[in-house]
Amino acid sequence: MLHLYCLTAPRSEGVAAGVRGLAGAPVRVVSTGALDAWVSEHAEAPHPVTVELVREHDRVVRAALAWEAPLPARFGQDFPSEGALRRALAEREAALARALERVRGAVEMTVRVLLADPAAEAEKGAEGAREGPSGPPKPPAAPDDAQVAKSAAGREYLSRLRERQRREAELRHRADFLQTRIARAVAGIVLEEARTPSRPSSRSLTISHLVARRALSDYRRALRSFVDGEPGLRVLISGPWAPYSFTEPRRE
Amino acid sequence: MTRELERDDELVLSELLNHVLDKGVVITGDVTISVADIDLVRVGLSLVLSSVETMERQRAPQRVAPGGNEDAPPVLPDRSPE
Repeated sequence: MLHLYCLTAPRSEGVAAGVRGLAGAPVRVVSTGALDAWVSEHAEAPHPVTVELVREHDRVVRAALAWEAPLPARFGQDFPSEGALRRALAEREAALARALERVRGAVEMTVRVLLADPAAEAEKGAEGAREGPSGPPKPPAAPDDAQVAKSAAGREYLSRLRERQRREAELRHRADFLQTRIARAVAGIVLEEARTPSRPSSRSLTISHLVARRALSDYRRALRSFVDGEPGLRVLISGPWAPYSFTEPRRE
Repeated sequence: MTRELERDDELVLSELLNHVLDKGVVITGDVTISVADIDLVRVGLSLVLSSVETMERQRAPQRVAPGGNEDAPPVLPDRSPE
């Protein structure tokens, strides 16, 4: 079984030599001519996945990144044989080579913004008072009031549903607004941006930027200056990463 | 369990899980990630949110200090590929 770490430009054997992968297995290169695949051999696919295995996978990808930006492989792609891997690569070789060219000389930086959501906080407080064990006990409804209670519960349900939709729309709006402003702050510095899709109720906006290595300090400066002008905004910046978010064909 | 991790470690870990398990090129249509692995991603997402909120609470009293730059965002240390 071959575990796939990443795809790189050709002639990477010298870089991969000595790199250790999952469970200390030596990393070797399967070359198609147009690109190299970094793999290691295992008796069986690594299950269950652990944090340590994920770290080991990324460590190999970083060894490639130290040489030249690879296309990192999503964890969990195991091929029964070298032939199977070669066949899979051959089907997409031209597109993968183009994708490699796209990230050449670049790294990924990831910006995570926590969106403020006072409405949700208020509702949480109200729910706590309604449902919490320390909340005031509700007076029991009289049996002949059952129908009235049911209808009131229905109204309350609909009202909460509407409130949730309103809150999600507001979060979407805030996220879009922030995304535009961040894009403006790093315009001319980043090569591309990719937003990670999130659940409608998510309070977290995640944007990845593809940045040329030589532009990294400009990027940090621009982002720092943006955040300094936004008191109260909670921003987390991580990287440089291998370009995990820029491996699929661009959406035009 | 997660609370035993250092704050930055939590963030780096959650970012790592999100990158390695949820992104990256897919060559085969058959990515062998089990249900347990999906849970790992969820752990990562909740970790980052709890971490940010923890940080907000920890930073709140500092913000009244004048003249400092305590409001600067937390920036993870560069994880140099070298």
